[in-house]
Amino acid sequence: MNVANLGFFLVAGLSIVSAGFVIFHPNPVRSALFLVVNFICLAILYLTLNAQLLAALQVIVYAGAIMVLFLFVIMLLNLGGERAREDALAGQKFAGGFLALVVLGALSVGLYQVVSAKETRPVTDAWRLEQMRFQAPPGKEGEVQIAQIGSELFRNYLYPFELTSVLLLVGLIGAVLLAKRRLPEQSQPEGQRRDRP
Amino acid sequence: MDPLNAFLIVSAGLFSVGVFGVLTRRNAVAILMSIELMLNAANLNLIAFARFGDPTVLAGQVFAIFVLTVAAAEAAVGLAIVLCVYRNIRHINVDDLHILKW
Repeated sequence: MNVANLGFFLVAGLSIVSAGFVIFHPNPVRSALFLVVNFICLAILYLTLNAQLLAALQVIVYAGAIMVLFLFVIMLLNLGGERAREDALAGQKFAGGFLALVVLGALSVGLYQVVSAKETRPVTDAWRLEQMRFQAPPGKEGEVQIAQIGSELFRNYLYPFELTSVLLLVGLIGAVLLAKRRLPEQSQPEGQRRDRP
Repeated sequence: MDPLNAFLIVSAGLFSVGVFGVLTRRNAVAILMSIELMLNAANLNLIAFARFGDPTVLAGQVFAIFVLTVAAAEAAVGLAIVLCVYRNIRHINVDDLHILKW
């Protein structure tokens, strides 16, 4: 086992462990911080996959923008841990764990079938594990690749790109509409609202 | 072990953790975070196939960029809905969220 493999297993293991902490930690702020760890591990994995642009975007968009949004909402709502309360849905954890295991099993079966059918596999044997090493920092090669992605995006995928911009606009308007404070004349009936259903 | 399979195994594990989180957490923000985990697992798959498939075809990475954008929009709208719900019923526990049901 060389250094590259060891690095891969370290980063992959850390990403899965931090994902587990995201799920199991009762405090939302800490699970958001573990989510940042997970995002950064995935960015390192993207770097090993020769996707420098995606790694940078992962850190900037996910670990930067989306995380700020999550932490902002968590702190705005002043969320503590989940209250220990009587279980409305008894056995939810077991059912959820069972279904997650079913998903994992289905994915594993599919993966095993792909692995066992070696001759039909599209991946050539030239890609050995030795080739999966941490790449050198993006130099000339990385810049060329980013230019390639840009030209792909604006040639072959122009319509999806424009549709994505429309989607972002719709998301922007929707978020503003949903989260804006009510106007004074609309806040009259709000005093009679039910606090708890 | 093939390098592609290693990445696919990691991705399957992350996706299953995300599914478990969506199914068991009660906090709406935690459920949104689990959805982000699942989207990231899908992204890892796309990028791994883009690397180990045909190296000259960048469709996987382009699609990963689209997934990233959709995830950003989803997080913004989802968190706005969470804020709206909190403003109305003063908590975001999804077990008690049945005002849309009737």
